[in-house]
Amino acid sequence: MNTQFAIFVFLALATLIGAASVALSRNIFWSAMGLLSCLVGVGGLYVMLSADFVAITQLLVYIGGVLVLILFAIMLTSQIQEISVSNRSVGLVGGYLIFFVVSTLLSFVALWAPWRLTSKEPVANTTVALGDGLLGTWLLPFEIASVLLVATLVGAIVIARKEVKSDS
Amino acid sequence: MPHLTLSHFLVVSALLFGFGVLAVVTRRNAVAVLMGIELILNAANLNLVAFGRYVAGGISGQVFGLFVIVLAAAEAAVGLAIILAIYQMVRNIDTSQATTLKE
Amino acid sequence: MPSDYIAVTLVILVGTVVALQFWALAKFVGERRPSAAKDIAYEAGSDPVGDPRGRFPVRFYPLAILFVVFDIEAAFLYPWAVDFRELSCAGPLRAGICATGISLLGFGAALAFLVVLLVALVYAWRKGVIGWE
Repeated sequence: MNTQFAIFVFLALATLIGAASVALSRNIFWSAMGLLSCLVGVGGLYVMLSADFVAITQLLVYIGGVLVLILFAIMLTSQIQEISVSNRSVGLVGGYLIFFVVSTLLSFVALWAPWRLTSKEPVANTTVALGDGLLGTWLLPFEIASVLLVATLVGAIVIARKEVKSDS
Repeated sequence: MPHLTLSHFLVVSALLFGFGVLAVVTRRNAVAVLMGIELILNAANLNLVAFGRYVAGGISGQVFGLFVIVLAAAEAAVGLAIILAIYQMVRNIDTSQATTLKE
Repeated sequence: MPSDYIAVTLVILVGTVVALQFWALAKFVGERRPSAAKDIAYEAGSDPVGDPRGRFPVRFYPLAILFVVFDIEAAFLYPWAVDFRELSCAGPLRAGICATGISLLGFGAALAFLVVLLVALVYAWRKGVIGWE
């Protein structure tokens, strides 16, 4: 039995079931749990693509940071249950139609396009290679990322600083 | 069982993208819409890393992936702050309720 | 590549098994005498205040963003720290020893990154995000 393929199927299922519950669950808390499963699955897929540092960053930033922010927002707004899943402007049927068309089209391209595959072996020590890349070839994006983070912090603090008014 | 190729990852990413679009298009809770955007960004990121591994070779795909993760975190932080501000204004985060431009 | 992750997989498996085993031991072997005092959230601590599913004040949110920002900073600085010896050397390292003189480029670049993020920290501090009034 091909262990690698079995692990891939497991991770892909974790990713896609999580993603499905994000899109379809009526309870926003279960959606967040689905997002957790999905993010862990994608992190595992990064490991399978021998991108281990990206996988760790996924765990650290996405699950440790973004997911916590999302859970925060859910608790701050405490609007757990949704009366109706469907959005008035599109509707569930239209949503499913878009989902079907988009994923079929993209899968078709993924399966039939003649990708020019490389014969290079994956980089063995990704952390060192990433350090070289971030402080060498991609130095400018690296520095701009810090400016982006400052802008994020300032913007988010300015927007969210006001206290919640007492409930009417 | 078949050997893993680029197409396997691309198909997972395509379905992930589809679910993300589905969440963005159909959900009414603004936080869920933001989660859908995270799914879309993850799908794109998975594509980048997979292409970096199988097509480009080297480290460039992973550097791209790293920056996309950082951008997604920044976007989520500001997006959720906006949602909280809307919630304070209209006491609701239903996307069809926030229809006014001013108080 | 897959063989590199055997150790990680083993740690995950052993961790899961140990956790499940203690849960199962407590469930099947342990004796249960439920009482009102044992149902309190913090059995030997202070009494909980309010409902955990209620709303939290918004003032926690900027703190969470501060955490995310410095989380990302840590993620970016880690490759720099691992690669520090190579980056500090003007030429390639030979057997771990730098013979060509010191280069401050990598250090300066990371320092610039840190200084820009320090602005964010100072801003958050001045706005009173960190303090508790």
